[in-house]
Amino acid sequence: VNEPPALRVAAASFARAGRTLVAAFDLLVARGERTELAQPSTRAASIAASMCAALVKPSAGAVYVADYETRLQPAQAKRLVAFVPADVEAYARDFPRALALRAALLGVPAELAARRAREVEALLGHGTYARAVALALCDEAALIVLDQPPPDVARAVAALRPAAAVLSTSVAPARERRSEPAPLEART
Amino acid sequence: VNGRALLSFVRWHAARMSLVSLFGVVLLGLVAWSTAAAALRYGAPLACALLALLATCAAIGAATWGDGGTAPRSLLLLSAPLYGRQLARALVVAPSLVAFACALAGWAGALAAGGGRQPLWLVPFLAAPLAATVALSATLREGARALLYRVLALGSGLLLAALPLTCGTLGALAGALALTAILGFVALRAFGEALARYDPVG
Repeated sequence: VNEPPALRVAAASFARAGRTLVAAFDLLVARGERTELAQPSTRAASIAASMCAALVKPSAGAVYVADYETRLQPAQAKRLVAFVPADVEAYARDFPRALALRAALLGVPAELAARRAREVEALLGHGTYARAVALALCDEAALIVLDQPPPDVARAVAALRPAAAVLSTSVAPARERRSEPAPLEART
Repeated sequence: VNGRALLSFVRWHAARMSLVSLFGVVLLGLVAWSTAAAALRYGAPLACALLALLATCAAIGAATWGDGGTAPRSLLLLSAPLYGRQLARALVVAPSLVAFACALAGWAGALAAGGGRQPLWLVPFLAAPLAATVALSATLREGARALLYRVLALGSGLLLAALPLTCGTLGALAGALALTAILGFVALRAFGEALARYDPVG
């Protein structure tokens, strides 16, 4: 079966007021793969993550989540994405109601969402970041986008959802660093 | 957005209201109660017009003030698999309910004062969702443009408030219904399109 990659970025860039904030980049992330995308600044990393999560439309180029072009089919693309922003305080605020809302919007039964949240908290602890990840992962996402996560979170999330592609952004001079898929024993 | 999602939406939206906002809602309800009751002495049209204005102010406040005003820009909502128009419809509900509560308090005050039985009293209930819908567009803008949408919301409320004073009961009701339907549709569509275009980069 020819399954499309979870994420395909084709020369996508982002500019605002004539200033390039994210330089054009290409990226291909298959399901089950964990990838780190480095950007030169925290702002560029956040914008790149938001572009890959279908939250921000690229100024040039295209971003595809599975087969959906994020500029033309944002709702379909967002359906497949779990996005964890860098600023998790606002995102995970009032967690129980936020979880109930996200589960309702995604059509996930409340009990299932609560069980999935407990799984995430068992893995990552009970901090704000864990709650943000639990919110994002209340549905089965094909692509998980983590904007500048704390160390080792991307690996833990990949182990929790081995079938999903995990993309994390970071701030580093290097353009892109691709890591190996998580070993099978770490995924269970 | 189904019923379960809408209920979760209102609960989440309401939970974002601070104690100050809740106090404001209660205070506005009391003001609406006493204003409607007192204005009845000068006739139902004036009382209805004042209540429509109060409901408009409540709608603008609930839609744009404090945490309620930041709700449309929440990443929790923007990352949900919804189209702008769906998100817009869901976002209108909470501020409309707050403004409805204000109109309800005023109507109850009028009933307690022995009035409030004419169909004219529907006008404030129509002003509430219309003003909330127009005002919500301010939440995605900054500065003068945000102020413009608040002024437009107030203008829509003024327009509806003027109807009981200038037309008869039937004319006021028909005019209010028509204005709410037309302006509400345009405002909701504009807000939905603004949400679809909005990106959180700023």
